[in-house]
Amino acid sequence: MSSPNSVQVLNEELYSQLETPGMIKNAQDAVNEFTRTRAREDGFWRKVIPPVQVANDELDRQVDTDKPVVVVDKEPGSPAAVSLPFATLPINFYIRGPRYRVQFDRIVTPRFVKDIEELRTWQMDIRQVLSDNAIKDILAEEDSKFLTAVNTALVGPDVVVPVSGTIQWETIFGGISRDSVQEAFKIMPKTPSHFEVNTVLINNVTIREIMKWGRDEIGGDYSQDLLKNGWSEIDFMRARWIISIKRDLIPDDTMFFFGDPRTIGKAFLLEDTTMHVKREAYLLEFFCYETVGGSIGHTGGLARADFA
Amino acid sequence: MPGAVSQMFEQALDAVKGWPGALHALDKAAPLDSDLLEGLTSVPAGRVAHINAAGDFELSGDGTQMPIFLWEGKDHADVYNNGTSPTTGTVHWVPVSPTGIMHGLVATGGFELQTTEFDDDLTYATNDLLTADANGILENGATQYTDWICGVCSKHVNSDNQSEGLGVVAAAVGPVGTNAHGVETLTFWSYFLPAAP
Repeated sequence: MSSPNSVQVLNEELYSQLETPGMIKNAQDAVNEFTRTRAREDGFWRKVIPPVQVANDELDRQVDTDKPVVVVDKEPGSPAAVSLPFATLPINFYIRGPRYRVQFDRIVTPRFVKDIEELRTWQMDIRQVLSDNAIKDILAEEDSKFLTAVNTALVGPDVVVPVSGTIQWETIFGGISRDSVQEAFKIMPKTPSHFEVNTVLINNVTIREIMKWGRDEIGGDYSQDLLKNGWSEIDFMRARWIISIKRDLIPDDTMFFFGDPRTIGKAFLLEDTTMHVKREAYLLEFFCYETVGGSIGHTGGLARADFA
Repeated sequence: MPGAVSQMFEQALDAVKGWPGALHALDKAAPLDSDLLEGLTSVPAGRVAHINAAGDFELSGDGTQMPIFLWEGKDHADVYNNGTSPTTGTVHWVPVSPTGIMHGLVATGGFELQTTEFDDDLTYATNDLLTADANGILENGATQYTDWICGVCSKHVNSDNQSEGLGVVAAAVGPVGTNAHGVETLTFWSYFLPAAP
């Protein structure tokens, strides 16, 4: 825990860094104590599909726009092999294949403005507010856009996804039990893509349904550990579990399933999160921004289960 | 992407005065109405729009709806990445970004604007009042205190310097003229006068 004096020193360091008007500095983590009113967390989109930094020469130029675009190749379909008698040749299949676009937009926080004389009375580390919350709000916007796209790709609950011909957003009855969770894990490999679940996304309330599992469901001392110590597993059921507090995005009693990132799509960073800080006379202004792009190129690596 | 393309300046809005100064400009960002975003209706840059009760952009305006001049079109790469095939309706990809958010310049801001999106069959004069048709295309002939007014005609600027010979700027007498891209534009000041109730 930082003392108020040390925090003031940190703030003074910040003031000194702001002496150059228009200065832009990269956002950095900082640690301090103040009363939190809302929990924030790191984003999960970047865990499900780790974004790749894109350089200028990796952008695909377009005729009709100068806005950045990346074109990604997608595995083409190919006809099945067939059995033939001797003395004949195979039919022709001219090679064509699908591609998809990744386009970018900018995520920004509001531009915060403050008279620096009023900042002098703050004892909390102002950098905490500048960097931590703002960056996590940007990550929350990333997550929101990602899950909106996932829900769009999965069409709707108990509706056949046209591309796969199977239901990939399934209502599973019987609550969250060992059996029902296994049923949920079957959604993805049941598609023609046959992908296996790599990552499970669940909220911090729903995970407690699994922590309720007794010895008859989870077996041995593990049930005792869950009750005594809570959920500490990252890998469980041969998948990585991400527990999120974003219940507004991940409803209770819902699990999202993701395959290997290569089976889902692409996420690109054109400009990673940057904090613009500017002091003009006695007015301080700052905001964070980033330029990211992403597309879901295929639905085979996605599934969702709503437990009822 | 073989085939016909529209160049980025063919349907566009320019702010010849008053913007950028982007950090202080009176612009407004909002999603485009989903029917417009996913439908066949063209929503190019330079049209006038308003924000509806749902908080989304819709074209044109009426009553007290604040005119907002669209900086982007819905087909811009930072607005919408449509992965649905127009041929088969197959969804080939779903964009995580962008999500249909556009932005425009609000009519009450201090702007002199230049748009490609106006009815070029009409004859315009400086100081004509501007309104719009249902698609957000500017037109004159509006009646003060009766119609929804979104601008006042200015005088053309940024002329094509080749139509009169290389290096010679075409004389502009009214608000309509050809810009440096060879596209006919209407120059006007943004202004808002609500329609009579």
